Amino acid sequence: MRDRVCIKIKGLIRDFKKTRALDGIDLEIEKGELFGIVGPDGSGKTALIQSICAILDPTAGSITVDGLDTVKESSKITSRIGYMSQAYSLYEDLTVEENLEYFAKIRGVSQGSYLERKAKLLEFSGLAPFLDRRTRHLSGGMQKKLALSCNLIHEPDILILDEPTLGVDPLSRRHLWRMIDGYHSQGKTIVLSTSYMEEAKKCGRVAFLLEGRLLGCDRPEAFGKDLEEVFRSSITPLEWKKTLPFPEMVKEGDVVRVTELRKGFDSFNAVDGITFQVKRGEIFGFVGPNGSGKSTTIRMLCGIIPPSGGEMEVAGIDVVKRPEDVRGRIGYMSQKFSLYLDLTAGENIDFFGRVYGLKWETLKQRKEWVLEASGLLGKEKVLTRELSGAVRQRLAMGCSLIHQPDVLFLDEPTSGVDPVARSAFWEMMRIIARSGTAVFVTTHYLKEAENCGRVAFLNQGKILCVGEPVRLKARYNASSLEEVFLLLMENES
Amino acid sequence: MILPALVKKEMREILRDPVTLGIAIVLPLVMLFLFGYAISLDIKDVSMAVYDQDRTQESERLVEAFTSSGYFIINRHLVSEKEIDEVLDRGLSSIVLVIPPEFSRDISSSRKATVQIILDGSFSATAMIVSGYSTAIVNSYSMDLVEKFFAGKGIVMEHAVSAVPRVWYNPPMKSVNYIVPGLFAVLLMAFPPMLTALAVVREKERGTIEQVYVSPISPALFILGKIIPYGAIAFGEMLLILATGTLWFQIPFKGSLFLLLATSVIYVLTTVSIGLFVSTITKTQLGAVLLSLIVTLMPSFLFSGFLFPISSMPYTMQLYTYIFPARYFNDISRDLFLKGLGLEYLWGNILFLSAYAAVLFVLASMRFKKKIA
Amino acid sequence: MGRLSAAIKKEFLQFLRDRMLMFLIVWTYTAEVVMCTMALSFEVKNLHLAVYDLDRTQLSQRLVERFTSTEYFSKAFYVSGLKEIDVVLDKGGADLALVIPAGFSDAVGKGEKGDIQIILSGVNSNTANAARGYANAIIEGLSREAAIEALARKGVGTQAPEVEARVRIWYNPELKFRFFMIISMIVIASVMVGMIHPAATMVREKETGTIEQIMVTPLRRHEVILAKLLPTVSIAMFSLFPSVIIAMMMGLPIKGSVPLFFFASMIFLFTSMGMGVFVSTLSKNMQQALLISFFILFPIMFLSGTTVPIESMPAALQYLSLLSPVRYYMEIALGIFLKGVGIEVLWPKLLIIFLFGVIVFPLSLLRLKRRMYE
Repeated sequence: MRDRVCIKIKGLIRDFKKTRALDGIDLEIEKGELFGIVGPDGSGKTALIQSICAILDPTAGSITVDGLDTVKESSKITSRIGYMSQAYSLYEDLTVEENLEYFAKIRGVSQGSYLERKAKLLEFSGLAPFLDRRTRHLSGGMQKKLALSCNLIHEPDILILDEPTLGVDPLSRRHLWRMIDGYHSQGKTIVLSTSYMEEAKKCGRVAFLLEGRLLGCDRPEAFGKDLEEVFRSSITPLEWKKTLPFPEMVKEGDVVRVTELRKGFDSFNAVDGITFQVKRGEIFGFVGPNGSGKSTTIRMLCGIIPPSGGEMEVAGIDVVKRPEDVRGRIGYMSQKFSLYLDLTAGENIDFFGRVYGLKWETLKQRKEWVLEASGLLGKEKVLTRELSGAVRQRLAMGCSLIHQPDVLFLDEPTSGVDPVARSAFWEMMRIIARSGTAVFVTTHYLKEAENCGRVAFLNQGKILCVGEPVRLKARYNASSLEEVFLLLMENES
Repeated sequence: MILPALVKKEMREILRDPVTLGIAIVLPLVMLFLFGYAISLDIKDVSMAVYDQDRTQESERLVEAFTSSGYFIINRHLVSEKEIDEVLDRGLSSIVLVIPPEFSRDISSSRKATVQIILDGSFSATAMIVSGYSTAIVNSYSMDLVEKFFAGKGIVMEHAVSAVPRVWYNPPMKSVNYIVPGLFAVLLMAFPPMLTALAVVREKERGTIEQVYVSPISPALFILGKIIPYGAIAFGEMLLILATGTLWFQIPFKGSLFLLLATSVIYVLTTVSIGLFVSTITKTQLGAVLLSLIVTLMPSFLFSGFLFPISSMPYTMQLYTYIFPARYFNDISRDLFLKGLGLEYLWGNILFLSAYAAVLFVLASMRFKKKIA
Repeated sequence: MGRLSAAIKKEFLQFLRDRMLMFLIVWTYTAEVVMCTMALSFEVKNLHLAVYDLDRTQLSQRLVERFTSTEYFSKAFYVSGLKEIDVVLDKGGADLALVIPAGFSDAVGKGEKGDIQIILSGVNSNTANAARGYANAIIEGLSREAAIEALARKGVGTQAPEVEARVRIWYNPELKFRFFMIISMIVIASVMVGMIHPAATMVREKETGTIEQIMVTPLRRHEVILAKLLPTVSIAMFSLFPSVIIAMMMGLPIKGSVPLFFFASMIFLFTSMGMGVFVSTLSKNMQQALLISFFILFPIMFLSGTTVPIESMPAALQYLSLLSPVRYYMEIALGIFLKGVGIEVLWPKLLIIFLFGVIVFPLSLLRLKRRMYE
């Protein structure tokens, strides 16, 4: 019988300067499998994937793909695979069509096949109406779809995806999975890493990585009823003080009041007359697809961009008239990473603390809390660049509230973070809210929106509905907020 | 199949960045015009102060010799020695002519009269030439006196020795004619490496380089994929300068156009390869630019013989200039423009440039590994 | 105050962690200075002379010796035909060719005129001009001597009037171009670093996205800028020390006050940095920032008299050079080092430099306000 194993990994070890990313992995992936790799942040998923793609050489051990060694025969391997990296992989200034064409020609796809496949892919991905749009003007989800299409255009036998749906809105995620499933059904081998447990469940087999080691590799069901629980139980949670070292705050009344807020850009209205309030100490979620106006709203509330119309009041300050005044009273975590990579964790905390005017003793106290909450006690001299994604997020959040703001604005804070880290993050938000700071959070991930006190659904700059998750689900007769969202989307179209 | 796609992509990206493109076109022209108009190391209208302690017909005739030369403009008549200090300190005049009180007396008694010329030496390049001019004027005046003297005695004296100068290759001796051919060497060394290095480092910073690693693009193709578009831009700049130089500045071009274009292609290959090489050393865009500037622009500007003659450099520095491709291209360029020399003379430099380009290409390919680590 | 000092500390930490950058900056101030000063000059000397001597007499030899005895001509070699002159000038083996006709010495001895041909390679017109000047001076000198000797043989007295020029060069007696170059290179290094570094660090925040984070803090715009400028100022001023020391070791006289030079350098840096910040408000990303910086740097450096003397430029460009702050800094530096003048003389130039900065900074602040709001 011909060898069914397509990817063979033996004793794979990969060291970086100070850390061991992969600590002796043995794995075999068979042809035609849909294989998932899961693990918390920093467990080595990306290193493993890059090693399979032959662009990261092992420190020890070996990997063969289709019998070819990744170190010595890498060029033969790369021509057989498609690889969608976590990093940005498209050319911003090129249009959708031009990117597709480029990737096709690079791979030597004949003109005829190219046209045929392009048509199919465009339909499948829903990108057809955007052929002439420059990639930089596409939403995150569309970019991922395009990246996937560019990697399918040469119909590789093996497709390798590194967190393909990272930070992508639910609709786009569905499209992406439709594409992945469709491709898999053609008998291709697909290896992907993910931190979304529902996705892991769709895989034929799942490999569980923790700190560079393989904890187990089997069909998802074999892991026990709830994969996420297994995940969670295998990791020792962070122990940290459940109360913030902050003084008591006022907990009554509204902290944010928005009336008919509008923001127009050249040809369209990003925010089209929204009205809502946020109570002190509540967790308020702003949910909606990409391009619905969430980030624009947050940035207006923070005084970063001026509104085109309407009124905003934050912590009693009229943000329209005096945006500078609101700065000391709010915290903000942008979508793009917001800490200085070339400073250490401690230095980042010091910087933000001092800039917010904290006195030394207060700063010392709170700094310790932030370090502990991020799991960095004793590690404050580590360069931020060397920290893993989840740790950075927590550190960034810590830095954004070190001055005890009245409101904390978080723009997609948990994108790309594994479930354990995600729930820990929400724990943190609950504690913050309990202490009196309102948390205004935007997210794509409807499952976590259930954690909010109240949720507002946004689409194309307008608010579709606002309310507590329970009430909304009742109103629309849905069992989850995701269903509510899909129902609302359907109503819209 | 791969290479055209690479080039097409790169060209699209370049064309869609108007700022870069604009500067790449305009800056060479700016350089050309500045160099073309500004560099005339001939001196004219030098400001001169005169401290005439004699004030006779003789002394005035000497002063007139200066003004009628066209090189000097008398802007001050001094009345005391103290003023000399002041005038030179403040830079009010560049040169002071001091004529002693015994001037005409000495002349009429056939003794040697000495005048003093005091120069502001702080701008040395000027000072040296000004010194030469002023000495020449005084010598000429002196010679006239001798002629008149002997004529007065009824003897016709001729210049015993006269020199008939002929100038080859650049008869009008316009500095523009020798600057512009050299400017090619500098320009093609200025932008292409920097832009190329930036392009590669940017892919690394962004992450799009990973896709390159995972594709069938070989290091050599990747490099060619950068060389061709950036080389084309460089070549375009060159044609622009060539056209402007010959048409607007009327610089002579005596050699073979084909040879110029062919050697430019080789030179451009060299410069772009340097940029690629730099990109394998730095990780940040800022680093790429600074390193390129230091390794390419400054040496080509300073050490290629473009502005500063290599013959005046100490021997060790002369050897140092052999490291830089700009030096070779500079020679070739000038030979083609002004001397109209052919392949028989140029082959040495051309061979060297080609070897340089080949070596750099190979080195860059070797350094470019399709691995993250 | 706490805010500002926090921002300053952060900027320094970031700066000190970028080794490559620091190395490059220090290199520009030191190694480049050394290399350039050792190598470069506009002085024309060590020229090669080709001689086609058809006369071959004592006089013709005397003539050739006159050439080689100066430092301008280092070598004279004899060729045996006009064709060889062709070749030698073509190949660049000689910069100047002398053709001495047969019967030269006889003619001069008889009191008639002897004609010599000088053939110059005009490829490098600066060299050619200088060579022509030297040749003329030498020949004139010999001419005069020969004329008088001839007349003396005819029995006329050798007494004849003569005017000699004694040239004294103030401020730079040896006319060592290298002093000028050292100062030029220091000036150029200052303006490059002063402008590029602030532009780069400001744009980097934009590129990484940390700029949004900063905007939401109580940090004011001018505090952000000030914090960014301090590392630049520090490294630039710090690098001046080895620069000046190297310069001194290479013989640069320091007639004026060194503290005054440092003070003037600070003011100049202030203005360069202002220009750098302004450039950053015009750029969307690092590449643009660097290219635009360069685009502005080139003309202002060129028109400053650092490479080409301003007096030799056409009037229009000379006026234009008044707009370059580098020009004034150059004059100040020259004044301090070579002339030993003090602040009484230099203050107007300092003021002008300062005014440039005073104009450019508020402009940048204004642009920042508008930019940030996008």
